[in-house]
Amino acid sequence: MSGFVREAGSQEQLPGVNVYVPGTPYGAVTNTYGFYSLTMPANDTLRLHYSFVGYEKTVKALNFNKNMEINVLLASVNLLEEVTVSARRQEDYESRSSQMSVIEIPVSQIKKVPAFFGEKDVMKVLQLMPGVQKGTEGQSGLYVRGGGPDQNLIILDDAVVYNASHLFGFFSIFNSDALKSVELTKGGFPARYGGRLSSVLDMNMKEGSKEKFSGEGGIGIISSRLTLEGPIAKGKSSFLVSGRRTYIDVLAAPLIASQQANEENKVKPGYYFYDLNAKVNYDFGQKDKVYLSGYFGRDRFYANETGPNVESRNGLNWGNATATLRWNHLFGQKLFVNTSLIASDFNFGVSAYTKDIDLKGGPSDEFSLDYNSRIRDLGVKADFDYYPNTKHAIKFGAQLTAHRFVPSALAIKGTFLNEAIERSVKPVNAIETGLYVQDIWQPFDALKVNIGLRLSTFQTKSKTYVRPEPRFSAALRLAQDFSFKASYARMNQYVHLLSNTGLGLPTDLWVPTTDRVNPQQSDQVAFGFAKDLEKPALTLTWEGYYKNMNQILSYKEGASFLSLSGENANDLSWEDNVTAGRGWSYGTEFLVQKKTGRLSGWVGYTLSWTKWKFPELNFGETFYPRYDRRHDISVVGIFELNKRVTLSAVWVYGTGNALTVPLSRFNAYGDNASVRSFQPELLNWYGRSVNEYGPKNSFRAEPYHRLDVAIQFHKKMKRHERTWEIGVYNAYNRRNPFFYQLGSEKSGFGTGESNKTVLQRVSLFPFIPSISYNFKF
Amino acid sequence: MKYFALFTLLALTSCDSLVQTVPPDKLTKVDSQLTMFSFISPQDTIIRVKVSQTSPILSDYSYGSGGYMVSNGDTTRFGDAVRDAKVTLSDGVAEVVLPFQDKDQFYAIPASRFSIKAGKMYKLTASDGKRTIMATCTVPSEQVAIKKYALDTTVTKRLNRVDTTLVTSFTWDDVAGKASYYRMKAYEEIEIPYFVFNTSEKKYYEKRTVIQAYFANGNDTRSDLQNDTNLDGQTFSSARLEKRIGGLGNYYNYPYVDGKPLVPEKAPKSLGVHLLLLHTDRNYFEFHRSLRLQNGDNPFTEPSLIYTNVKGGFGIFASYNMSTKVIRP
Repeated sequence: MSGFVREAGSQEQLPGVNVYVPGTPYGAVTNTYGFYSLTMPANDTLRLHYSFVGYEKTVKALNFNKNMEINVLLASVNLLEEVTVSARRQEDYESRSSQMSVIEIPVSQIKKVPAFFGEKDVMKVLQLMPGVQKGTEGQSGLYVRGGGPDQNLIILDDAVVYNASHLFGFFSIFNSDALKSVELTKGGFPARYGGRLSSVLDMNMKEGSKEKFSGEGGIGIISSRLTLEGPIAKGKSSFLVSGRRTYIDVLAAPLIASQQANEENKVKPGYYFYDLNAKVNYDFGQKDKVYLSGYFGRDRFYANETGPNVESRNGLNWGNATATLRWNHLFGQKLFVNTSLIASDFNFGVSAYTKDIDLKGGPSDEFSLDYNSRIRDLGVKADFDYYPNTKHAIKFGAQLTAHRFVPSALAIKGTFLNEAIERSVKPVNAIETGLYVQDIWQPFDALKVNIGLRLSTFQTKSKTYVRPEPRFSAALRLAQDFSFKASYARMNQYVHLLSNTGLGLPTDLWVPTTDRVNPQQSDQVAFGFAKDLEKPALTLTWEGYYKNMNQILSYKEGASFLSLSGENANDLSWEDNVTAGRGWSYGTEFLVQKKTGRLSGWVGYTLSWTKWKFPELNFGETFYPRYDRRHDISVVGIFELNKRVTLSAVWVYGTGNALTVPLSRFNAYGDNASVRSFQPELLNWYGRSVNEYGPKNSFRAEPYHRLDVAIQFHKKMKRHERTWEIGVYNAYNRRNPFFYQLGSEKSGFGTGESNKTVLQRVSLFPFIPSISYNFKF
Repeated sequence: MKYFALFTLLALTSCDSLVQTVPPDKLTKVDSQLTMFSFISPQDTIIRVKVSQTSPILSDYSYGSGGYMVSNGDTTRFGDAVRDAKVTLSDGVAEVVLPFQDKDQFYAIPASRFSIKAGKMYKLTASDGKRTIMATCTVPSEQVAIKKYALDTTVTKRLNRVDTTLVTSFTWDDVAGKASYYRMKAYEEIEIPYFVFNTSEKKYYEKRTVIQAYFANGNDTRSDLQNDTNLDGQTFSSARLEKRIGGLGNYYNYPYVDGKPLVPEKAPKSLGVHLLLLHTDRNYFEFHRSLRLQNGDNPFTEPSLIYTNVKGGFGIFASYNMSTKVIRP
């Protein structure tokens, strides 16, 4: 038996739906495209259940004695009516899945959690789960089990997204209105994923309703967004277009202009970001379906100055573009194939141009600087889902990606320079491939095993890396709704992010594995228990993990993305500015989650340690990386007060970051080669005041904690539904550390007054209220 | 990046109370520690050691005997020398105590009293009675010869100023089979005139002295500190070293009489260009590299630590084996 499960009305295909026969071991889960296949003995009075969070459970009574295609429509439950549902539904029983370390968040829940400036953000909701941490205040990057934000494989409709940040990392590029599903895997990775060490964030865009034209959108303080979807040919084809743009620059422009009305030189500064998601699909029938989807987003920061004797244009801009063409095909009832053509592009540029105009007719000075960094991927991928019998669900496939990197290209021209400076690192072309096979095997009722192998290769100029990656995960049922799980996964990462800020800045540089720079590799073992309770309807999970990461990459101390001088190579290369080392992380995570009911939400706690050892950092001694976090607590609560009012709150606590802070100063006397004094005996011996920091990252920032609250007012209008949301970020106005700096302060009184150096904590966001208006029609 | 800094600054200044002082009792107490700096070489004529101490940052500024000088963006403190320490240099067999030289604030002895030999290990200790610090280093065995060199003059233009510049670079063969570190230097030896004021006669007399005018690292992607990681046994090229020829004022501030600068009777004379190749130990290389990397308190970059091999304190005890090539005019 096989078929597709869709949402009633929109015809949206539903991934992750449980299809099962109660009281028997026969069950299946729909794949990304809503397809399922189930093999079982003939049965005259079969009752097949279909269930999925947020949808009404559907039961099909059948007379099953030959191969059948059964497509099912699930009706979305209005969550407000769910108040009356007291019995727990069966679909989200964590203890029944063989997979561990997976976080799935319904997009509808993301929209209810309080958000910074009211901007709902998938990444920030994921940061609230155990094992997943945020970096600095307000940042959307994910730190999963001691890994960095570059070690997450972020895929949107099969396309890799390289920079997931807008506005210097304060917002992620994902517009939740356009998303259908979000799934984050922290460990026990299935063999079909590869290419990053620490996590896989798999997101799928909505397809668009095939039944009727509809839309939703919102107006917030930072940005506005609008999503439209509808059928192109009813029941056959549909589209979805979603856009978002900030408008601070538009609002501020008249203000800035009036401020500068009387000034000779006019400066026009501004910042904006926007993003666009679009998808179309065509259903050729039960056997073939085609989808075309794309994402395009851009950030731009600029300052232009015009005046009688000066003209300048300066800017910073960056963005991603992805496109995916997918074709689903069914070979009979047991083999499902998806083939994808994928393109992804990330580009970052800095440009500056200044012209000083000499009013007396003399020569004008001109200066221009252009800096560019870019990655472009083209790929093809085929994934096969094969369901030979009830005991096995096999997936296998292959992927090929052609990368092209231009790590940095700098061009400087100026009238005062002898000659133009052009320093560009040669583009690097590389081919990355992956071949995998995995089998979810249920040898007997209480045991489910997922065994897999991935073979990944990466081809550089003169070297080919071939790395096998064994994968394993298993769940053993110990008692009713109580199971033990264990997993092991090896991962390889062939592209690296060089960052010396820890912020999601676009200056962070993506570079490939080369002949000299090895791939990063990790091994992770994890084990844990999962328990589902009926009343109250809770899921309890406890997991422990140990992860070892080899050949992780970091900038050498003091180096940055603009460092262009090498110490030993005859060719100028970024490879001289990086250094490789080992990292390891271990910890334990507790999660109590309530997905349904009037009161839903979760409590998560993580206890973890992360350590790094680099031969060239901290002079070879072990140290804690900046985001090592001993304790991390998140409490998320959503309460449906009545049909019209939803209350929500989030409280987070985290141990402070490990930082390097100056402890003392001294004069360092170097062997210098410059004339400083006429007295030859003092030649080359002069001291320079330097800071002493103690061992690297030996200072602990103060703990971070914060409470956010929000209230939503829903109302059904004649033609649409609207929601007003009022929220507060950092409700008790905690001054959380963003960074530390040295400052001076007066000490003593009257004549004995003197200056004193003090350590100052700089906070970024105090109490921030927000309001937004959202609508749906 | 300028704009990002501006942006954060804007965000920060708009709400002043976002910057708050961390109470000192919440911070670990830091004590002052001894520091010492010394570079030894078989080619040097003097063995010098600077002994000083650290001052904890989160404390009152001390306005004692010391002072500050800011030149070329570097802050230098005066009067930071520890004068009453016992400084001992040993080669495992012989030992010598270095006396304090009041004039230049170093502990020093002439190399003739204690010879520094290639391939040998030395130990340096300093103690002020309460605190003792110690470091060791081994002088590299090989003196690496300069193989080929080039010396040219070019006309350079920077910030609309035209200058004649001496440019030099040279090559050498790396010592194969071991990790090697190098430092390149070059200087022009110039005999220059200067003036001495005779107070009783109230008159200036012209005299002459020899100075060493060092070349600076030119507009080049190569550093004057190099190591042979991944390049063992290969032929190395130095950084492009440059020195402006410029006027006399480059070396000496000539006195003014009646509002006019004194003009010497005899012009300066070049005695030759010296090319120096220092085959250094790892300590020398790491220390100088870390010193260059530490640039300010930018909160967005990882601070670089100053390399030290001194146990119980900070500083450096390093060595090198130097070869010289002199190009006579």
